[in-house]
Amino acid sequence: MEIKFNNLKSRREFLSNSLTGLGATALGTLTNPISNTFRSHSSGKIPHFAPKAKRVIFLFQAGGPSQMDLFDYKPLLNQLNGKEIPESIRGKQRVSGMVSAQGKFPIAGSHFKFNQYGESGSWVSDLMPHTAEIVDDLCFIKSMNTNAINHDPGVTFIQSGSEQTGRPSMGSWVSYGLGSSNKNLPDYVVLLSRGIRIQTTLKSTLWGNGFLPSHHQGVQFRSGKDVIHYLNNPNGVDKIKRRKALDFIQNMNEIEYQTSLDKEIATQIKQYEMAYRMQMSVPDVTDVSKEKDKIKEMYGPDVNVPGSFAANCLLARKLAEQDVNFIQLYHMGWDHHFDLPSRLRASCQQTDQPVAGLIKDLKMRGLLEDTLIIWGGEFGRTSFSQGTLTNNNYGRDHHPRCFTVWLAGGGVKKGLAYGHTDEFGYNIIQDPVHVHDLQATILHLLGIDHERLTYKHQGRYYRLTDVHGKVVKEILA
Amino acid sequence: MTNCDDQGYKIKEDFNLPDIVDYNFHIKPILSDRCYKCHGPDVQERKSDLSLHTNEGLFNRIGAGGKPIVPFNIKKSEAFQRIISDDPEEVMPPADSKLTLNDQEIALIAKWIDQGAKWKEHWSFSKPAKAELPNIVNKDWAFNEIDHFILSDLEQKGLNPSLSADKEVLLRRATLDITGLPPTLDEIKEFENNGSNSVFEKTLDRLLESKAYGERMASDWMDIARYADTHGYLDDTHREVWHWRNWVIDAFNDNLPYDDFVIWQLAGDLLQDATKNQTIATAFNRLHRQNQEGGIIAEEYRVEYVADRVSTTAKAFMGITMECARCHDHKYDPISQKEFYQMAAFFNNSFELGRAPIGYESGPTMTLIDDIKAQNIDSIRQIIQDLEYQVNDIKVDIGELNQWKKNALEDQNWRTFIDQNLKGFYSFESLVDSKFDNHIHSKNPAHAISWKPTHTAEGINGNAILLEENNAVLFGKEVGNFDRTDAFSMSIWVYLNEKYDDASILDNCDHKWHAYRGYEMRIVDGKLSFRMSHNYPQNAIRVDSKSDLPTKKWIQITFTYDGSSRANGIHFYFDGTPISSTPVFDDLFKSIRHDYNNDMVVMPYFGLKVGSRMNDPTLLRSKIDEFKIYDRELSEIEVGLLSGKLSVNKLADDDHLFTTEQIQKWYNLNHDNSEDNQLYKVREIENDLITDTEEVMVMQDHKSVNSTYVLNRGIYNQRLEEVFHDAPSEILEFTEELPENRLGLAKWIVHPDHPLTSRVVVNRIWQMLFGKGLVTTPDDFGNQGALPSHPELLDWLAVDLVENDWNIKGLIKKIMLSHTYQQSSNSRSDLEDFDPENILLSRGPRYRLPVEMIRDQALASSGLLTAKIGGPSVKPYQPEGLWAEQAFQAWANYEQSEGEDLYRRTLYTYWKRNTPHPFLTTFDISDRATCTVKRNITSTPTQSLMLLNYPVFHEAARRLAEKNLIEIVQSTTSKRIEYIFQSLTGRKPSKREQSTLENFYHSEKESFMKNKSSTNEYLKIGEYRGTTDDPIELAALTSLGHSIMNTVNFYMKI
Repeated sequence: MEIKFNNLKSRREFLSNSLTGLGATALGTLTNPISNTFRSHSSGKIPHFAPKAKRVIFLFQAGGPSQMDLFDYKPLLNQLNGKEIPESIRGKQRVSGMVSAQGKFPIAGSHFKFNQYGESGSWVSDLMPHTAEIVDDLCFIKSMNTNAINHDPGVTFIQSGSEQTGRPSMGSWVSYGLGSSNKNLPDYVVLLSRGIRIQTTLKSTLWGNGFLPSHHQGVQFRSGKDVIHYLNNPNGVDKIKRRKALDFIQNMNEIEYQTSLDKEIATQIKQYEMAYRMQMSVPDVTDVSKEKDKIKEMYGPDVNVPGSFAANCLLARKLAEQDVNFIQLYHMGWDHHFDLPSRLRASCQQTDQPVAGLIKDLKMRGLLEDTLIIWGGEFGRTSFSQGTLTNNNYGRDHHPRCFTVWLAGGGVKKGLAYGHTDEFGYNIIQDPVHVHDLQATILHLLGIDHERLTYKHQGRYYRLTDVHGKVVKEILA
Repeated sequence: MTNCDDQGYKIKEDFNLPDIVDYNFHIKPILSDRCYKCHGPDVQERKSDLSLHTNEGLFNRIGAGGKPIVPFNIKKSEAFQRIISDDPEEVMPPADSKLTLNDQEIALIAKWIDQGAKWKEHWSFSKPAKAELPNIVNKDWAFNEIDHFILSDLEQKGLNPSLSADKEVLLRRATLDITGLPPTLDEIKEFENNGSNSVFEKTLDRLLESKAYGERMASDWMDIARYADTHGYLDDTHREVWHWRNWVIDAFNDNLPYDDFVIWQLAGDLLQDATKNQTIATAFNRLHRQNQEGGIIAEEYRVEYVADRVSTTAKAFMGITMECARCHDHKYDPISQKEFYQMAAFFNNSFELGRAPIGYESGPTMTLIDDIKAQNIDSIRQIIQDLEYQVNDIKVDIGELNQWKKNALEDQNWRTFIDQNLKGFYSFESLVDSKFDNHIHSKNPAHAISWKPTHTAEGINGNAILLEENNAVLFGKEVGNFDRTDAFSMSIWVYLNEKYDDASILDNCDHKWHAYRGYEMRIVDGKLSFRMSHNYPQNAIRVDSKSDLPTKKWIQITFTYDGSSRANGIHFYFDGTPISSTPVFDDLFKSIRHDYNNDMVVMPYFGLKVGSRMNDPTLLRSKIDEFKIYDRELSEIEVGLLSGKLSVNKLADDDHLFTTEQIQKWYNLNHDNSEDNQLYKVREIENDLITDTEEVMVMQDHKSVNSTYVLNRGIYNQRLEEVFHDAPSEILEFTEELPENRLGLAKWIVHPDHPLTSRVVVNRIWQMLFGKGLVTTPDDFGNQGALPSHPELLDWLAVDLVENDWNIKGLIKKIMLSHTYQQSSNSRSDLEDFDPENILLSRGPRYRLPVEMIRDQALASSGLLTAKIGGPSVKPYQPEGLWAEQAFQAWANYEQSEGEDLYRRTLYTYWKRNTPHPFLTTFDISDRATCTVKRNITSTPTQSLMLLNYPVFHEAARRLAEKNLIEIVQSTTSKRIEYIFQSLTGRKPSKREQSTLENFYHSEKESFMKNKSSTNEYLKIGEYRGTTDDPIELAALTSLGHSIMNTVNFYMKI
């Protein structure tokens, strides 16, 4: 090992060679004068092209909503109710370990009535009367498909592009790509709500930053006293005292800066100021008490229950108004293996009106135009019954081959149903949309080329869509 | 500079290219980053058969085309011409790759060709050697060898090193670096007052001897080992694995040589006469996440774990990214997909299913027994052995034996004898109220439970049960409730509709979620399989018949078991005829009864049953009849007689039909004797003792090795060619003298000729002390990784480490004794633009402390810290309800620790994979999902909120103030302030600081005086309760201390 930059003669030469000359200053992060890591993390300036949406509200329905009981109308299932699903349809598909012991796979027709709504004539079952009212604003993708068949890998996959924990989540990528639009709030906010009887376990690594710097981490807003962990001053410390303490801290830091000339100290001072602003602004933005009753009513009665899905939908609108870039809701109640008819009804009652309320509210305020809303889960459910099919009961297992999501708002076609599944609601027969395609499309709508939003980690350029994904151009407005 | 106009390209002057362009440092990073994707090591992806990563590929003709690179000739260098081509069809990289080379990079390549295009091997793949120490002008500055390398570089660039750090700054830096804790006021005083030249060296020795050193080192190693107290994935249940962390702390404190540290963790179990500690160390490769979700295919995840072990081993010890080669040949480094799986073969021999049980440790495990108990168990086992020998040796006189036989065969006496032990008999004639009669105990009928009605059909004798989907017949928890110490037998008639791959005949065991504890009779690949499990398969017996069970005919299956916990104590009979069998697993040493923590029951235990077992395959459309349960072992003769295959007359007449031993056994099984009873009792005692012991996950190789295959795209069941253990030969050949197992791999990794291992560990220690390594990508020493800033220094230290028997404490001491380390970390105006990242090390290290040190510093300086080393993880303050709102399981309930456990060092904080402690994640701890060797260092407002409002900092500040008021009764305000400041920052305040501190103190005091109720509230933060004579004074000093904790003087290393 004999060669280094030993031959560099002057400071000017050193500088130009190591920093500006080799083009490593793009993001100002790679200033190692020796290492020849020339490429900046993310290629090109973001946005890569004109964005259609400025922010995202992802209404994630954890557990896997049953598409053929909600949006993907399959009358054949009712006609063939109880009959074995044909081998030709099921093929040698991998089934989950929950039903691999089942000897029979009887078709289960939906117990719910379907009708066409709106000018678009979109099919919606009677479980979702409020969603039925807004279908002309929605773009249904009925041909979603994923790789994963179990919850943990499934949710992790749609959130991060990988089935294994450890990659940055979609919101973190967006925060990394778009930066901050609001100086008083985090770029990426997460809201959780629970289902009735059924819950699907989540984990905070779902909104983790993976290998991205941790300021791209999703910040969970919780209902109750501390909306953000340790947001509030402790007992005995009021606003005035806190301000005084912050001034003292800044003074001390400035003294240290004068001795050390350490630029990190300036950054630290800024973080404390931002923390203080968050203390002021977060309680305000999360306070829904000043909302008009008329508005609250749009979100349904649960809106007054803190931490409910309805309350979170209203909060999502408020955060959108404040230009938070990525607002991620999780509702935990959709894993209907058994007793599907009653349990699915309960899940819909919790979520249908709030979702419709949110869309209407955003539209009213002109926010729907530049906000992208996504509704959907990690996979779909089987058209055969899990467990025994009876006259008034059935269940459905996880189904990765097809499921339905819908998008609305910024840059998406309205009143469209894209993609088709077969008559059994089992396989996609036209225009499949893979999870990576959905991710590419979401980034595209934000003005980001998913192939160019990269981050170098352990020798490799990672991206949300791994090495896959194509933008679904047909659904773009 | 050459004018290359005639070659179609002119190297422009204004790029300030280096005088000599180096392949490794200047050219390969460009080729790797921009070209290797299609022209690199990945054979599948390689375009036009052109590879630019090898010497041959770069300089030899491809097909009919030209040579990619021709030394001294830019015009004839095809690759270069393609790079500068204007033709969009020709230009490289192609437009759709979205990769480009900038003008500077193109100029570098041109100059390299112009200088003769000298090729070199990748720097980290050849063995390091000690270079001669570089000459330096300012010889007095160098404290040791390290300084020669650093200073010579600085001198060549015309730079001066920085002044030495102040003594108190240096002491704090060194104390934090070695122990993770701050120096005490006494230590500071002593250090300052000691003018001896060797005082720093002696201080380092003291610090390296302190037990806190092991804790500090373990913190980093836990990231690398992806340590967690739970399994991750959906269910994320607890694992009892802190024993491994204890081992790590001790290993560092004992200064276990690094080569042993590696060997023990990879293969300690395979060392000769492996000790308990050597085996616990192997938990390293069990710390990966483990899935427990109901719907998974266990094998898929078992394969995932093996892959994780490969990636972790490669990254942790060798700094290479093997995981890239799991699905395809590595795109940048010379590691083929085949080599990934060859390495996987070392880790593919473990005794595991791929599904971690809920409520039990995930096997293979080691049982942890203290010495006294171990002695007890040993002596009891000796007694058992003696008694077994005696029981087998009981012989009666041949005359008496014959007389007994004659009597037994008269009047069906033999049957009367057996019937005493018949505890259940079900003939499944008819269902009354969903029950089948038990002909022995009418109070214990069998219950048919079902989501569908259970049907009967024609049986071998009257009716039989017809097995359909989702129906089962339960015999209740009282029937057949045997432990491994009980002898028992069962016979059952079955009519098999088809040949089954895997289906249950009868079981008295737990669901797959709960380790299959109990016993069961199954059909596997058409053969009979009997299992008794504490935790299947690693604490279990499994015996499979050699021959298939017949289908489409009735057959009576009998098994007998002697209570010995050995596979050879199990015998199979089909229609009364002995069937030979194979022991598949034979290591059952704990109870098979059902006993679990109530929090952890996902699927209840139903007792003995035939038919469907939730989620497991059933014997669909088969029939079951005439089920009998005996509470003793049956002899071969009895099974024969019961089946009707052996006739009483023939047995009576033919003396040669059975040996004397066989008749003797029949006799013995029908005669109780004191040795029998004793044996049973002693076995029970042993069972109780051994079952009541803790276990810890470890590595263990299965005797019959699993086959390993290259997996297409890494998918678990897409097997390609079979491969055998080997290590990547481009790095170092795996020679024949190495053992052909994990131990061999471990020895290969620490082989003195291995080019990576020593460099990687030296770099990591450097990173620990300076905030960044000499190679800034400690996880990637390959082609895409960063190049070393001081390659000769790295190599010198690497060789030196090996020469000094891998002495880690010695390495740390050597680095810290360098002048380089001891420089002031203040920036200088002449460096601000020149070397802002301090790559040249012209000043000391300065960065935000790791999260553990921030909290530990507060605890230690205040005296709140609990002085206890090791033990189970603890649960300090955390926002309420955080676990429960993300997960629904009963175990997702955070029970905050009490008392001293609230104040343990931060490395002991319970790590729940799905919801790690928010204080830790806010401050950049790695996510522990996979091996991580470097943390980000970020600054965020949520960090500020933590430091401002997390209760423990207020609590610690109060304890510190209280300590000052108690320890020093008579004092001045300025002395008190100095005490607090010095305790928290390791130094006395400057004059300006002192006055700022005093102003703040007075203003706080005033404000507390005005508001007594808020003062009282403020003094109640946290669980700690102290004494207060003067609440206002205490509150003011507390607030002062707490605010100091929020300054860079506290949370940064300076």
